[in-house]
Amino acid sequence: MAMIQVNGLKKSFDGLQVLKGVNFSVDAGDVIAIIGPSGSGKSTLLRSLIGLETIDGGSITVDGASFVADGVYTDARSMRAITLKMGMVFQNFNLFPHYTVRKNCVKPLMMVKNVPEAEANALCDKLLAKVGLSDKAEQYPSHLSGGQQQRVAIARALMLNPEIMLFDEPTSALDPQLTGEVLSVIKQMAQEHMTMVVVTHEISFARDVASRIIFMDGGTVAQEGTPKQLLEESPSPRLAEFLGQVVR
Amino acid sequence: MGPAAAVTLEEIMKRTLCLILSALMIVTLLAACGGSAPAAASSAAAAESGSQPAADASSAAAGDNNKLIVGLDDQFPPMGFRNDKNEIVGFDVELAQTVGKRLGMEVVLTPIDWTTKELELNGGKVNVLWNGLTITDERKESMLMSPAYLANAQVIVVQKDSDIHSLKDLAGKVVGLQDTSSADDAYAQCSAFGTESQLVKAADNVSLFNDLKIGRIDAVVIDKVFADYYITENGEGKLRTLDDQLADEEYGIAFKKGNTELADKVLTELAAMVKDGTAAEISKKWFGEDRVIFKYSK
Amino acid sequence: MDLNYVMATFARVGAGIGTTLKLFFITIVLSLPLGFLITLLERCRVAPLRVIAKTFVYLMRSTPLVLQLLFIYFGLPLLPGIGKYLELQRFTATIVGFVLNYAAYFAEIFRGGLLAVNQGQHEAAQVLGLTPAQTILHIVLPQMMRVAMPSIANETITLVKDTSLMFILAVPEVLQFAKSAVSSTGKTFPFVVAGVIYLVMNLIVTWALRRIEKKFEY
Repeated sequence: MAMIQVNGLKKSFDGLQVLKGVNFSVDAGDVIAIIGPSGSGKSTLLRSLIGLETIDGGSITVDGASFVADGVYTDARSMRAITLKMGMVFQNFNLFPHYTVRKNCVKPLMMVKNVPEAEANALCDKLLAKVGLSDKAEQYPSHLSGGQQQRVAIARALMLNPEIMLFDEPTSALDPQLTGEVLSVIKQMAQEHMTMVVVTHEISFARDVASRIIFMDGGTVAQEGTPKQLLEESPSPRLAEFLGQVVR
Repeated sequence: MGPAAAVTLEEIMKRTLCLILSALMIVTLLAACGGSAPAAASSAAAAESGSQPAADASSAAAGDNNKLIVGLDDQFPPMGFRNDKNEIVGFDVELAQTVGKRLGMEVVLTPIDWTTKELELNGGKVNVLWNGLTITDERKESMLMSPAYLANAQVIVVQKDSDIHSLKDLAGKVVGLQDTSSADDAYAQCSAFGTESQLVKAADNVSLFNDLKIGRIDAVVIDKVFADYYITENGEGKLRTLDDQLADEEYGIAFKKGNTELADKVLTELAAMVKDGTAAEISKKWFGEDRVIFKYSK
Repeated sequence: MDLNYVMATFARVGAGIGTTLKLFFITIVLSLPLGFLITLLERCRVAPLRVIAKTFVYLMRSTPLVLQLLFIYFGLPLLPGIGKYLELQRFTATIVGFVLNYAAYFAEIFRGGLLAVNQGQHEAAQVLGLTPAQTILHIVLPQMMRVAMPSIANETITLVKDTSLMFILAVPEVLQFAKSAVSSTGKTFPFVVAGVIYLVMNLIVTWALRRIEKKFEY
């Protein structure tokens, strides 16, 4: 059974239709890279999965439980239970500036799942070590570089032990020399078989890490397949044009 | 935000509402004892003179004609002002207190902002205005005004060595007076000033005298009773009063229009005080002579 | 000018300090949460509540506080029907006026503070599973307060001085006692004393506010 099943997703903003009926599915262990030009609806799609956007039509099912069917949402409580299975990392990190790195990680877990402080701290230490930032635990986000902040954001999301991780253009706000450190963390997570959906402009990352690539254009899935299929063997004309435009 | 945000406001509002409600309860409790706060403040340094409970207690019972809730200006010596111990004293104060005592009524001295005196009287927050209140036709219309009990005039005070000796000399000078006072009215009606004088309006009488002493203004138009008192206390040798006087006027006591019951009670007693000499005694104490001119018959 | 006179004048003018402080503390304690509530109402989904909140803020900020005090004390009892239940005592009316007035100003300050907290913070809190209440309390409020504190400090200092407006409802406080002293003695020293009292009060308030501001720094 698919971890995520999306059918007929439609979404309009002020009369402009951004998603025009999107279908796709994500299996456990998949790493999906969503690529495409601006305005193609990539971010909107991702945000709809975790409930940051409300769709107008279609259905989303996560791990067998559906929180929206035919554009009709279930109650808030059920929806929250479902969306908590997913974690999200934002383009602009969205760390809490008034908390230290440690508090950023520990507080949400303590508040949401009532985990005792000692246990939360232990998990925090483990995850910070994983993203390579153990020595920054007592720093405030404003004292970290963009790449470091994003890695903290990843650790923070992982604290709640999500089954699926969503990344909304995780490196787009970073200086080129900092993207590497974030991408390698994501790569490591892929190797550990975390189910992930990554909206990105980093085509080489998509090629190396993704199990499937979805190319979105004009609000629909224009092409879908393995990296090999899309990028080497048979890119569609539109995809080829897009890839030609993306500066390597 | 997603659909989960719909719950936001309700939850927050409930919580904050609880906070507000508990705070309001605290305030109500405080307000209940808050009535004694202003009094505590005003009598903190004072030896209680017997009739100075809270200005607040008056509000509840103003309609009650068993209390004499006297609205007065506590910044108008010698009619009503505060002494060194912050007690309210003055000629009018003493008259009112004596009347009240003789009638067996509780006298609540209530210093009010003089510009709101009509509101206070008509709103029932005080039931008598007794503080150098000049009788005018307008006031007779809007309040129940007693017959005159004291004669007053608007006099002009200048520096001792000023070159002003009569009304005519005021042309082209800077003249000061208290805003909305009778001096204000008198000035407006007196043609002797002409249009060449420059008018300065102040909120209170003392600042006028200070300006006069410094020389910022050339003359002050003010009640004779105040001028006499002030020059005796502070201006001896520095200020003098012109012989010319303006707008002879009279002081009266005002009640809410229609409150004939209280007016009758008080004025009858005052007439009795005049008859038996009590009023004259009080007058001599404050002015050195008997200046009371009160006559009353129902 | 001898020491006795100075001390006596301080005693005389200082008799009003109690009332001034009472008004100050009660106003601060009540108007801050009320102001925040109004800010939330301004962002409410229920349109009538939004309108009420915005109109309230507009009215309270567009008319002088003195006028509002007069209206509450003298005007409310004149309202047909409910008038007789609205007869407030002087100090109560003063508190009501001050609290409502300052709540409106604080509401605007909080509104600005909330705008300064970007949407991403709400979204991050949401995806991490924080309830709306937790989000407001732990994530939004601290950030909002950091932005709002300087303005709140400003209003608080203004409040210390505004307390002297109690005079219009004949509630005696520091400045009134000073004026009485000045008019009955003809000397202006009591004003100096009043000035010193306000300076000292504001010194303490400013110090306290500075310490609170530090707590919100990051």
